[in-house]
Amino acid sequence: MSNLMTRWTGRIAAFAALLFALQPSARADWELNMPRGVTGISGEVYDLHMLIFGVCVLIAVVVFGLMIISIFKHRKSLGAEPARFSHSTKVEIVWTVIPIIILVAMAIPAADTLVRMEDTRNSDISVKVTGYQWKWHYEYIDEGISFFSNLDAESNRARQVDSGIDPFTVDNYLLNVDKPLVVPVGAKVRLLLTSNDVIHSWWVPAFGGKKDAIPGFVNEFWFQADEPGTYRGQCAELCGRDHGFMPVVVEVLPTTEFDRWLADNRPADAAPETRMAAAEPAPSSSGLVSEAAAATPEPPAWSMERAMDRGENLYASACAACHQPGGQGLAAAGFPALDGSPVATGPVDQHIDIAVNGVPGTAMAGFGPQLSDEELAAIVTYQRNAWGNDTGDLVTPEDIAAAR
Amino acid sequence: MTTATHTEHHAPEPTGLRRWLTTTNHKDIGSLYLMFSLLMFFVGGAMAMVIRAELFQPGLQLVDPGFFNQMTTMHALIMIFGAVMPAFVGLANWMVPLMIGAPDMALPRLNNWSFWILPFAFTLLLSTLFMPGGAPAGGWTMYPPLVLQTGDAFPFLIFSVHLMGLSSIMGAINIIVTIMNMRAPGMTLLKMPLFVWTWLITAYLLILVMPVLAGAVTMLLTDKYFGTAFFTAAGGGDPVMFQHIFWFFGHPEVYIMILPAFGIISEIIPTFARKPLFGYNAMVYATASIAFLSFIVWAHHMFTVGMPLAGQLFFMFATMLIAVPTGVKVFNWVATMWRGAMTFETPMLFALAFVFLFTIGGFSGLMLAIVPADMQYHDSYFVVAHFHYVLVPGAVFAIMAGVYYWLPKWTGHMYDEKMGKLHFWLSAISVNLTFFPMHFVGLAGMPRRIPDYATQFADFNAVASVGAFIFGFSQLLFAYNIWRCARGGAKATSQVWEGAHGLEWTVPSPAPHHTFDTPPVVK
Amino acid sequence: MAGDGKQDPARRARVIRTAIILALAAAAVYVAFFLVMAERSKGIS
Repeated sequence: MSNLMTRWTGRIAAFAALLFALQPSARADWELNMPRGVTGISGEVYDLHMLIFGVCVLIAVVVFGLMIISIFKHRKSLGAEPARFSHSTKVEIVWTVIPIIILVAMAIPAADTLVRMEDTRNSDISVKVTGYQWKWHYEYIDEGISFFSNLDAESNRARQVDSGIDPFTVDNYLLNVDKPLVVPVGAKVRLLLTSNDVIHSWWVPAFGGKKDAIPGFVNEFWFQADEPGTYRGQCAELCGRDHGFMPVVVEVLPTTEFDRWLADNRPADAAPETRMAAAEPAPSSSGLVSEAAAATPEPPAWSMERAMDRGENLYASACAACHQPGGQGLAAAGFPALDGSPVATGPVDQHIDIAVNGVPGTAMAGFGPQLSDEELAAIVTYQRNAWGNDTGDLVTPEDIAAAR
Repeated sequence: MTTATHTEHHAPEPTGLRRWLTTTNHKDIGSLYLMFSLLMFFVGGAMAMVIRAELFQPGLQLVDPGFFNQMTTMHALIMIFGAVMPAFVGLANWMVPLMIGAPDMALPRLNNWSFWILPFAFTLLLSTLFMPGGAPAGGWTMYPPLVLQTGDAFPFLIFSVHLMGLSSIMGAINIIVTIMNMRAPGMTLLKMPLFVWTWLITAYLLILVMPVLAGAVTMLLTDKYFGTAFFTAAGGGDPVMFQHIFWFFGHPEVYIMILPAFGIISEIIPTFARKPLFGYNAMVYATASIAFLSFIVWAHHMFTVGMPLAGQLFFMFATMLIAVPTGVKVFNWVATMWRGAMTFETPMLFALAFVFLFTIGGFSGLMLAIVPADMQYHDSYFVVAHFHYVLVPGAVFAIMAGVYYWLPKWTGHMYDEKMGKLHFWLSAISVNLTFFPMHFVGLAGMPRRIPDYATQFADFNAVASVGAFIFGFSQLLFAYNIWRCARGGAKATSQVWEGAHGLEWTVPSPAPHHTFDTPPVVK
Repeated sequence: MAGDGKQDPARRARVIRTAIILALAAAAVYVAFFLVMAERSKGIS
C-alpha cells in the first residue's frame, strides 16, 4: 500500500515538475479562485459564488460517489448479476423535488444581492464612461474633467507580434494604462456607460462585476471601494482586433488626495458649472498624450516641426494599432497602408475628411469627436510627411476646423 | 425476424462518385454526414491548435490579433455547424430508420439535398480565409455593430449561415416525418428508443429556431448593404435586440447539440450495464421539459447588457429550473448502472466520461445562472470552460461513444479495442487538462476571446495548451481506427454487444444496403 | 429508390402532408419574425 503511495507521489511530483519546466518563469501565480474584491457587493458576490460552488460539490460527491461505487462493485468481471428493476415513480419524485428545494434556497440570497446591485440611487460621483476601439474615455460629469485612458506605452511595445520584449519584464503587462480612472475611497461611484462604436464591457473583478457599454444606450453600474489602491481589469466584450489591449485601471484614493487630484486636473479656464454647459460638443483636451491642452496657456506658433513632433506621438497612440507604426498597414486584416497610399499622398481635403469623419462600414472611426483641431492637424501632417511620404503639406488646425 | 433484405427488388445502383452524389439511401447519406463532420472536426480542431499555440505563453508570438479573432470565430462556426450538428444528423440518418423498423427516411431526395448543401456552405465560409480582410472576426455570435465591420467576408458569412440553416431545417423535417409516419407496426411512440425520442424533440427545436437565426442574419445583411437600421442605434434600431434574437435561437441551439447526445448515452449505458434504462418515461418527459425551458432562458447569455431587474430575476429562476430535468436524466443514468453487470468497452468508457464531465459542465452552468455571480463569470474564461465541458466531453464524447457503439453495425467489423481504449484515455485526460484550468483563469479575471493575457494567467494557460495539443493529436487515433475498421477486422455479429437490445441489432452486420423492406412487427 | 415505390398511397400522402405543414411552419416563423421586427424597430424606412 505505502509502496503504491510512494509510486504515485513520485509520479505526481514528476508531472508537476514537467509543468513547471514548460514555463519560462515561475514568477506567475497559480490563482485558483475569484478574488473577494474590495466592495460590499463584490464580497456578497464572492459569498454567493462560494455557496453555489459548495452546493455543487455536495451534489457531485453524492452523484459521483454512487457512480464510482457502482462502477467498482457492479461489474460483470466480479460476477455481478444484473438486477431487473427499471422504474420507480417514488424515487423520480424524490429526485425532482429535492433539487427544486435546493434551487429555491439558492435563488433567495441571489435575488437579494441582485436587487442591491441594481440600486444605483444616491451616488456621490457620476462618471460617464465611453468605450472606443480600443480605449476608454472618462468624463467626470460635475467636474468638467475628461480624458482618454489608453494601454500604457510599455505594454504596447511588448505586445507587438515578435516584439522581443519578455512580458514578464513589464510591470502589470496589459493591465496598465496611461491615465487611470481616479475615485475617492468610500464614495458610491456611479458609472454611466456607453460606446462610440461597438459594444464594449467595463470589468474590474475587484468591484464584483461588469457592465456592457453599448452605442446609443446608457447603462448604469456602481461601486463603492472600501480600500484605497489600484484595481485592474479589462474590456470583457469582443470589440475587434485590439479587444485584448484595452485595460481598465481604477485608482482609489483617500478623500483628501482625491480632492487634490480634482483641483490639479480641473480645467483652469472654466468653473465647473459653465464648463459643463459647454462640455457637449467641445472636443478640446483629449489627453491622448497625457497633456492637458488647457495647461499650456499660450501655444507656440504652428509649424512643421511642431506638427511632426506632436503627430508622431499622437499617431502612435491613435493610428498605429491598425495602420502599424511604420505606416505599412495590415492587408490581411483589411487595414490599408498609409505609406505611399493614395489617401496620404493625394488631395489634402480627402485625407482630412477621412480622418475627421471616418469610413462608414469599416473599422475606420471618425476621429473628429475624439481629437482637437490641433491634434488632428498634427496627425494628418505627420501622415503626409512621415516614412516615404514627402508631400511637404503642413495642415493647420484651421483646415481641420473648416472640414468639421 | 432476422434479415429483411430483398435485393432483387432494387435497380442496380451507380457506383463511384455518382453513387455518393445521387444517393438517396439513408445509410449512404448518414455516412456522408459523418465523414463530412469528421473532416470539419479536424479543420476546426486545427484552428483550435492555432489559438492554443498563441495562448501558450503571454506575448504575441505567432499570429496577429486580427487573425486570432478570425480563428476563434471560425473555430466556433465550424465546430457547431460543421462538426457537431452534422454528426448528430448523420447518426440520425443511419440509426433512426433502423431503430423504428423503417426501410428508409420518408423523404429520400430531400435527404440528399440537405446533405449536399453543406459542402457548399462550408466552401463559402472557408473561402473567406483567403479574402482581403480575412475571415469573419466578430465572434460566432455575430453581434452588431462589430460584425458590420467585417469586410468582403460578410456576405459569405451570412449566406453560408443561411445555407446551414436550410440544410438543418430540411433534415429536421425529414426526421419528424420519418418518425411520425414510418414506424413499424407495434412501434408506439412510448416504445421508441430514447435516441429516436431525443431526435424527434431536437428536430422540432430546429424547425422553430433556425428560421429565427436566418431572419436575424438577413437583417444584418440589410443593415450593412441596404440602409436599414434594425440594429443601429443611430437609425432608431437596437443592437441589444440582435442579442435577444440571437440567443432565442442560440439557447435552443445549445440543446440541439446536447439532446441527441442524451439519446446516445441512454442507448449505450443500458447495453453495457446489461440492465434496462431506468425511468424511461421520466427520461422522455425530462427531455421534453428541457426543450420547453430552452425557449424561456435565452437572456441568461446577456445578463450584463443592462436588463430590467424583473427580467434578470425571471431569467435567473427559469435557468435554474433547467437543472431539475437535467438532474433527473443524470440520476436515471446512475440508477441504470446501479446493480447492473457492467463491462467497459470503448463506447461505455466514453459514455461514463460523458456522465461525469457533462455533469461538471452542468454544475458550472448552474453557477452561471446565479445572476450576481454571473456578473463576474460573464465573458470570462469560466464561461469558455463551461461550454467546452458540455460540448467536448459532452456532445463530442457522446458522438464518439455512438460511433464506437454502432461502427461494427455499419462496417461489419469490430474496431481495434486496444486503440479505442488508448484513444479514450488520452482524450479523457487531455480534455480535463485543457479545460479544467480555464475555470481558474476565468475566476481570476481573464476575459475570453483575447489573444494575449496578463502574466498571472500564464501557468494555467500553458497547461491548457499542452492538454489541447495532446487532445488534438489523439483524435488522429480515432480517425485511423475508423479507417481500419472500415477496411477489415474481426467479423461482427448481428447483435455485436452482448447486452444490446433493439431493432438495429436484428439486421446483419454490416447492415445491408436495404433493410426492413418488409416491416418487422414489434410486440 | 428504396421505399419510394413501395409505400402505400395513404402513407405517402400522410408523409407529404406532414412535410408540407412543417415546412410552412418554418416559413411562417421566419415571416412572422420579420414582420414583428420590422414593426418594432421601424428599421425598414
